[in-house]
Amino acid sequence: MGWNGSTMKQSRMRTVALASMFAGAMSFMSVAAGAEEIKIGVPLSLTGPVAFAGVKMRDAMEIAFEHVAETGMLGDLKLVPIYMDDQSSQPTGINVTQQLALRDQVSAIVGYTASNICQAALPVAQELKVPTLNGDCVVDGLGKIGNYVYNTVRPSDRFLEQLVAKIAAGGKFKTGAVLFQRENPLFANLAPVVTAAFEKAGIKVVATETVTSGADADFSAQLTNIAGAKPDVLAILLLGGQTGPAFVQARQAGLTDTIFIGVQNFDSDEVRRVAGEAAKDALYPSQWIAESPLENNKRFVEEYTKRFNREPDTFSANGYNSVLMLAQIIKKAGGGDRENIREAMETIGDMDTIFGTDGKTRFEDRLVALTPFFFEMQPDGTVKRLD
Amino acid sequence: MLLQQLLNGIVAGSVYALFALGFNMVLGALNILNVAQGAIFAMSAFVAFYAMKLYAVPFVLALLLAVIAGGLINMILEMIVFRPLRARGGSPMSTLVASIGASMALLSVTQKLSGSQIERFPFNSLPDTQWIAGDVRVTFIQLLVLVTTACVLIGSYILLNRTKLGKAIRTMAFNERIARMLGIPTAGVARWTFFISGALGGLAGVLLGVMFNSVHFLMGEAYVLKGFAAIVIGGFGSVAGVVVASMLIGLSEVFSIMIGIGAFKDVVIFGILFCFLILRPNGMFGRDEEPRP
Repeated sequence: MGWNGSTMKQSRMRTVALASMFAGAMSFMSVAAGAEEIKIGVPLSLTGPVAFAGVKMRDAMEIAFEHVAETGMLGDLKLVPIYMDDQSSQPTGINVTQQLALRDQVSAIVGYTASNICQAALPVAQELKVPTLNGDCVVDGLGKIGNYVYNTVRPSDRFLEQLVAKIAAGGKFKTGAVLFQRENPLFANLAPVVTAAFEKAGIKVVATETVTSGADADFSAQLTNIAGAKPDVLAILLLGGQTGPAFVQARQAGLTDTIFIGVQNFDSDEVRRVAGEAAKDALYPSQWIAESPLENNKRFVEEYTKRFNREPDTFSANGYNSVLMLAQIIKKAGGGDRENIREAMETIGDMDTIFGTDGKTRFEDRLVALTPFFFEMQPDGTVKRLD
Repeated sequence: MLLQQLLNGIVAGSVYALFALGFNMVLGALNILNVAQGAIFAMSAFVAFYAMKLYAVPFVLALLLAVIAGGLINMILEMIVFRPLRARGGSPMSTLVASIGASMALLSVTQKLSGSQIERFPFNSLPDTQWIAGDVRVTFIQLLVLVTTACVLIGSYILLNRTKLGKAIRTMAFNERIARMLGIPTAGVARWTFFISGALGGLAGVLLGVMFNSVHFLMGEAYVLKGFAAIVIGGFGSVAGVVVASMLIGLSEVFSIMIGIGAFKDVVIFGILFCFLILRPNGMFGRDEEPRP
């Protein structure tokens, strides 16, 4: 091949290269033009003492984001989650919120795992005017932070009061006791609530003991004190990771016939796995029914169980549900503008949810409107729903 | 109830002693405060847990694996973290900082491998027996912890006073330069000291994981500060001192709870620590010593 052949070959190669670059640029532009990416901040406790819950939330939220994309419910809008770890720490929770709002310029935030972090970080989100959905914190007062902060879970205090009223109705319980973790604002706030509920229901409070920290694992001294008072019912207000060991140690301390009551975190993989038979007859309220036949719930439970080889629990359900609700809000907002999203949160009305029995909910006073259900734990790790 | 709380306090003290003895070994011999002991405690517990869960290894063998794993992990830490620092004349502060870094690295690895989940050893790993005499209840595992602590105490005494390695450790604790001049292979002794310390951490991790029905990556962190308090109160390097101080800490915690000031139990413990620092800085059984060169 002479000089002319080389030139032709080079020229052909240049043409091919240019055509490829053009095609690549066109395809990029078509993606860019077609899909609006909406950045969503997802702060979770992925390390630290509450990581056991945060990791489960993240796993479920990943599934939820995928399901939202698969259903095409947002049309050309694409949610892009930015996960950040608040390390189960309040200062880091505040930092992470600021970074998501200011550095990452997210359109909205969904997540948070622990109540003490919510108390610190949600006011920051409000101040920075970032529409935020709290997905897991159940301490009282989060509905009053401001018009940029909404909650996809309800505070535990009302649920616990209703549970106490329910169990007291039979007149079987005369005495009660409370064991709570002092360091956690959720449990520190719930302790007087449940004490008052006991007293209102005619159940005399015979012992109140505290656990100092979420890292404590030995409750033998406190439970020995409680066992000495022989309560009929014991409210255990501890982190999910402590609740299972507390059940076991309580039975060992002699509380063999005492009924345990608590909050939604009784419905956690940890408690079921650790407590075993010691959890027998324990009662708790929850807004989620794992066996619910709602389509969204079945899809979530099936995918979660298949992917992670374990059943979801209350933390996973909270995570999944919060993303589901966020997606509906974004759909109403029509895009990633923060003000539009905030307005959508305010005006959205009925939304699909995996909680409850009819699959519908709405915001009331910035809290999701839900009716609790009551469950009794069985020795084999299953739960039975109470009428 | 008093007798039961006394038993609870002694068991709690034994728990702290099991942890602190490993800690004390390295601090006493090499003047290194290895806060990675908490991470090794947790990592070793997971070794035993996964051996039982995934490979149906019997408990005793899993415990042995955990002990060896704890020893090896600590030995590796000595080789790659502490030995280079000591060779360069690193100060106690630099080894402390290095141990904090090592602790964070080990905790991250343990967290990743365990998926941040809280596990428990399989039901019936050990007999579920509980003996009841009047108001006093004691479980098999509580007895096991008490017996193990006693055995470790006796074993430590025998090791340090009746074996060549133990005498070498004591000589190094007194003065490393003199130990070298006497022909003691200090590098090897340091390695074995770390191994024993890690092995004790592994033993403690498994027993406490069974006793408290909980194995998670942060399980050791709660003991680091109390282990250090036991060493300060008991006297640096003193095995008996650590055990007595641990019992004091365990009993003061339990009795604080018993009399209704449980919210201040940590204040009580660190108040005791503070008093010792002021009144008897060498601890209960510590000796006045020349500073190490």
